[in-house]
Amino acid sequence: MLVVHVVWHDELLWVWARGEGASDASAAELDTLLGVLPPVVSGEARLTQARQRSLEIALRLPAAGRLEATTVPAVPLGPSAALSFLTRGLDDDGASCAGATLHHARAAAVLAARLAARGRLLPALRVGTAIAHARWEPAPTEADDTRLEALAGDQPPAFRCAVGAQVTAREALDGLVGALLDEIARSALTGHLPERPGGSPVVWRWLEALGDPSGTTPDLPTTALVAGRIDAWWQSSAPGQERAQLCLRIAEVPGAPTVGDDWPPEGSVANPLEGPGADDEPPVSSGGRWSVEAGLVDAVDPETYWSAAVIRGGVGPVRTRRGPVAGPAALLDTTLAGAARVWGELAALHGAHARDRFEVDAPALAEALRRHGTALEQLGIVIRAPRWMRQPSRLAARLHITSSERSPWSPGLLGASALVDYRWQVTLDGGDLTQAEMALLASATGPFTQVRGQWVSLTERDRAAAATLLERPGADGSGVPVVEALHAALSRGDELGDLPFDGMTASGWVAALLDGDLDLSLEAVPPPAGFSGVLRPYQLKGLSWLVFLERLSLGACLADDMGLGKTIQLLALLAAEREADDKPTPTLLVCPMSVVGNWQHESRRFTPGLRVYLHHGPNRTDADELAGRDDIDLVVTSYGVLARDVDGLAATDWWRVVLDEAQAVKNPTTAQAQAVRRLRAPRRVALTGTPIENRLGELHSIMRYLNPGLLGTAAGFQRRFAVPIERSGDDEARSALRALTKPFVLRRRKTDQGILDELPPKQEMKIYCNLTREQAALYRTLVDRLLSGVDSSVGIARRGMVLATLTRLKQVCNHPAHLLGDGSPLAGRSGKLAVLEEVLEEALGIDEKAVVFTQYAQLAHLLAPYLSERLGAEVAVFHGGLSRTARDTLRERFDAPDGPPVLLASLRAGGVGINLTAANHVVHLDRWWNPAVEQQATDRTHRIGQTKVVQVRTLICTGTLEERIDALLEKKSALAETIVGTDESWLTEMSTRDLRELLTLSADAVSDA
Amino acid sequence: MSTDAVSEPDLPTDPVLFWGSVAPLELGDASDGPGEESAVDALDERGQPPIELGGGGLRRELEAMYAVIRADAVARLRWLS
Repeated sequence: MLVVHVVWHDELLWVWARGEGASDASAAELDTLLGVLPPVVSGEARLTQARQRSLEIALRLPAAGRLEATTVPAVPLGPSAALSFLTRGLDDDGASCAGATLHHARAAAVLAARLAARGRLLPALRVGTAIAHARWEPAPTEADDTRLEALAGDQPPAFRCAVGAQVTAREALDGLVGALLDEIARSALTGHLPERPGGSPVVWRWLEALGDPSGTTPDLPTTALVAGRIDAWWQSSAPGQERAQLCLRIAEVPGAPTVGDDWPPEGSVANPLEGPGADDEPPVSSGGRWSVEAGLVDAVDPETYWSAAVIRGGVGPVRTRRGPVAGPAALLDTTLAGAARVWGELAALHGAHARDRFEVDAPALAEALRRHGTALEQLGIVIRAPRWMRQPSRLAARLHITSSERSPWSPGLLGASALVDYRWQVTLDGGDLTQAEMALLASATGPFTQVRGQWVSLTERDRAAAATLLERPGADGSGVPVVEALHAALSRGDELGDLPFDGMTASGWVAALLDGDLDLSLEAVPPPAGFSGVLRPYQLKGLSWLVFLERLSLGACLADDMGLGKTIQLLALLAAEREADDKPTPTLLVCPMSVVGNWQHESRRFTPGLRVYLHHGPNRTDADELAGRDDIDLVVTSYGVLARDVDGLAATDWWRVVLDEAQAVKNPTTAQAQAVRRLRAPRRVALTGTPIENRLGELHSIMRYLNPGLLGTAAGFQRRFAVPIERSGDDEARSALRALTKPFVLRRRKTDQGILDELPPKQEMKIYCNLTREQAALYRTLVDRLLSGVDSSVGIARRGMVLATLTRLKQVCNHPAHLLGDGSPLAGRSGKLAVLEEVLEEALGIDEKAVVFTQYAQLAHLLAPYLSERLGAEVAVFHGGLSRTARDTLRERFDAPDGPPVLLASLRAGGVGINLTAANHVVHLDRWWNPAVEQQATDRTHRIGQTKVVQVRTLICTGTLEERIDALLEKKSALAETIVGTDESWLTEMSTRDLRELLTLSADAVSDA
Repeated sequence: MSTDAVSEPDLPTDPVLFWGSVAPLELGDASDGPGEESAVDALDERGQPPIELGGGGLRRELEAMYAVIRADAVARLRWLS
């Protein structure tokens, strides 16, 4: 059997074949093999010559580890015959088979046909000697190019092994694909004579030749010009394939002291789009006349430049890396004509009376580059201009705050030294401008100006905005409180016009304040004698910080993690100021109702000398008398009472107002928040455990009270910070906001080094409980009932049904009696209860106390007597229905060593603001689906004062919705994000199918016991 | 058949590498996706051909030629594939 091979050589496809024993097929055998091929046409001149010359080819073939030149009989096929042969293939007669080279050639034919089928080809006119050729050439897309590259990579070297052939695989493949594509198009057009479209006779002769087998057309005097125009025209459709590009060189006109025609120097430009780098010495102004010159650059090597004068002078061929440019003058002219449609001035550079360059004023040039630069580049035109000309410099405004080098805390310096000076500074590309430089810029009239020997380009708007800022009365300030200076950064921000805010700098103690470098500027406040406890180092620093900010009349937000002792830092502040000569009047502290008693309790414990009045309950005194009382140090009230008594509480100035759990005023439209904003005091403190820096609404609302005006209006804050940060993740806005608020927010985390090294660890574990058979039966019934009815319900009815079922399922997981509410016995009917009993027994067995959180007060009441009996110990219930007095009493009893060892607490009532460090066991009986809420509850025990390892157990019924939702939360999926921080309404939006997956009881849920 | 020893470093001398192997045709997708435009469509985006070349008349003529070529090439692909 003969193996048929092909070789691409000299623009012909040579077919040869070899049989067993390296015996090559004879010419006669090859003729038989190839069958009837299309007749040789006149255009295939080389083929004719080749056949006349010889029907053999010299190849380099491997033999004994080297290549040997071997001449073999072969039939050369021109494109027409090659296409016919490759399309038809070999006869399936068993006498021959295709070698890898023939397979490769067929693949090339398929690619060529695909290009043609998709119209990825373009007509060209190639000028030869006395004759021109009309050709169809490939116009591959990037994807096509990738395919070609891949096919070339698989090409057998035997495909290009002709002696004398020095081609790469890709070149050989491109040659064959190009020839086949041209043939495919040409043969398709046979018999379709075009109409004469007008224009030059050369054009319609070219069109005719595109469909003619010979492909030739006479080389008329204008053929080269037309060829160039065709090339230029279709080059624009094949970006990346062009050989040369139009280049516009912009230089200062000759006559300038240091600038001549050669700037930018030819070939010195690494990136033709940018021109010389910023480090290059710019020219000196010579009156603002600039020249624009046209030329061509090599598309591959843009440093190679031919000026219009050279091209039109016909100095020599324009040879680019991709080959010679046919008709470079025509290409220059055609592309210039296109460019002139964008920038009309360029018309002077083309046409019959074309000039090589023209001159233009600086303003006109700047305007043209601004308006047309991008469009010209999109046309593939290279613009060589200095970078500063294309990219205007930016002016910006920066705030400088100057303060005394000495701390305002220093005795005797309070007052004047606490005041600062501020001024606005205009910056140019980040560097400060002197007044003289600014004046120079302001007086300049053209778009380009020299500053410190550097050319800069400025927009008129920037220049005007900077001048306005500096000339406006009151732009600077001296002897003002620092908050006013900082406020200037924002409130004046609206008056900066188009000038961007470029941050602020400070000197003296304000610098330390802004940098958050408190150690440098804080003078340590000694632990007050009236504080009966030990303040940890970070708490002392917090106290010093509070004192420091109050001395500056700045509001402070103490945002330490829960459990780090914000309460005692505040109490220490009250004690400290009473030891100084300040003669303070009462501080008003507003907090959630649930922690009113806690404040009293903690005050008794740590600052027993402090006279605390709880403004709470029906017998409370008249609010408007409180602020001036000299027998009270601290008035504690709740946000609810504040809203009711605001007229009285806001009637006079307080010494200080403290907002505890300040996130309570996060919504500025609530009655509570509005009431808070009416409270007047020169000293303002907010306490919160939530990271308000990340919650912009809360941040603004709290800061609005602490430091009025600092963050501007809600609408302005929304526009300047909230929208850019929350919608676009604008890091610049985030940094600016952080810089402005950092001095006023002190947040330490438990995990910070040196903060809580002494706090015992917290062990968190999940305990999976099985359902009893009774629980499982109830669970299944509820799920079945839901799934059978939910499809027929819509809207609110459907949501109500899902929510109700969800609640019931959680009740079943807790205990059947919780669902049924029938007062039936509890023992032995709930897997969770059994586990809870074990946990509590273990804790009590080692004399430790436990807090059990549930979201259902009803369940707490149900379990308390049962557990009390089982454990033989008192089990107390802490819930939202207790009066304040009852809560305080209960908490005090729980703290006492002989008090109840177990506290059943509702998550809402017991989860915030109280200290439960007497317990070191925490059990979460059911799930709230919000880890933050559960964490907050846990931290009631894991806080300062805790001396034992805290064990946190979360009970989860396996195989139920509890386990599945827990898994979703663990994955931190997008769905989990939806769950966290919201109620359970997300469940109601689930499809029936998803509900089924979430709720259906799995086989392993039931205990065998 | 005549033979002479030659030294051509650009081609492998290992026969297996030299002759290559017949691999299945892996040419990827035939098109770049729906809505792909032909090269003449792309030309059109850049405006009409220059007047000297015949302007809109040339473009219409080329469009007609492309239609013929594409139809014929689709038929040829069936033979080749």
